[in-house]
Amino acid sequence: MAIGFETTAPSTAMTMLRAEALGLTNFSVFCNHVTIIPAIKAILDSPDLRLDGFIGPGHVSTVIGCRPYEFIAAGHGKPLVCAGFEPLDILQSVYMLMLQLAEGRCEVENQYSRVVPWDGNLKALQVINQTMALRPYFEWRGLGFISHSALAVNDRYAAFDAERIFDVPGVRVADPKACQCGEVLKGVLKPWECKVFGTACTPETPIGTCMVSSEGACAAYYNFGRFSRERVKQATRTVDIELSSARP
Amino acid sequence: MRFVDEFRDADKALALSAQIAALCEPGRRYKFMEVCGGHTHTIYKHGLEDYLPDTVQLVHGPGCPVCVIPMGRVDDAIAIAEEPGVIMTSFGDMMRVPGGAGVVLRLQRRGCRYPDGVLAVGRVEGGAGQPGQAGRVHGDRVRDDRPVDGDDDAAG
Repeated sequence: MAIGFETTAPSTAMTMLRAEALGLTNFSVFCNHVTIIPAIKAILDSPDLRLDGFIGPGHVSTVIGCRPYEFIAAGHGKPLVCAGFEPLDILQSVYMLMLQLAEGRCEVENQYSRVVPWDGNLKALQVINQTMALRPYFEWRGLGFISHSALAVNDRYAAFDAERIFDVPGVRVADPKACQCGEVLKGVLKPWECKVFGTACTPETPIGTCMVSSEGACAAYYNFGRFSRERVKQATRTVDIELSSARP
Repeated sequence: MRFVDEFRDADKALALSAQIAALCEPGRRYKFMEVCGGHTHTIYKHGLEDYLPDTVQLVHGPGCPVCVIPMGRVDDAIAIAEEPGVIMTSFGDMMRVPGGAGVVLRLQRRGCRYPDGVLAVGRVEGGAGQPGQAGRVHGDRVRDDRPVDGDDDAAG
């Protein structure tokens, strides 16, 4: 089961090329690769959010480069900074975004230049194009159907396409009612604002996807963030108590 | 900079934090979206929100591939995995995603078998998938009770 943004798609593509070279007949790929640009477009078109800028995805950009983001700055007037994954990378990216806003600039900048080439990884893009093709549309949790937002195994490599080999139900299943992953994914809701966060939905017994992956906002927040938030709550409570006991 | 601790230098972080605060226009609120789930992970893991002024808010985006997979696709994967003779491999976090028909990781309990009795993640090479053939599955093994640590997760 292949999954991931453009980051992991080249490894799936290379695996198919290797399977072809080995002449395998018992190997197939259930392709769930998605592409980042249509998702950002959907976010930009969403009326719920007023954003000042984007911290661009570093790993995806190692493959696609920075050029595909230019429409965000040019067409939508939002700055974007491709960022690395260490704490200083992210703080520096926020600083670069703030500096652009302060100076009245709106550009695509590359903070993660130690890894991200401006034009991307041409070899990786080439193997993706060789083995996969864009789907007309694909369903995203929380964002609904987005056109040209995912990759499928192309006709040339149809022999490795699990969706053509096996009987796949392809039925649309509604999310559990209690789950608010959709709102969390769009950034409308913070993880802790979800009704089932940390109660019915935990990494051990996840209801929604955001609690499953370490990259999911809910799992990350459940594992790390809640402690600092609790500390803050605790601190304010102590102050409240001190204040109330100080009153005559 | 060459080592990871240099990218986590507290003094430099505080200096950046002060520089960011100095750029804040009074009365203006800032909202930035980090598109990638990997960034969300770093932000919470290192408590980066504490380094930002209250007026600068980070919004988490849709860049976690496993998170955006709709339940129907998980059920499709389960249907394929339940075909006789099929060995399905994927990233560890994908295996834990609930679909309408169950969780891929729990299929073991419904009579599905995996190489060496466990699920595998990563690339498949050789004759993997056919019983009796010398197939090899690369990557870590995933246990049912494995905590979320991200080592084997699909990258955003």
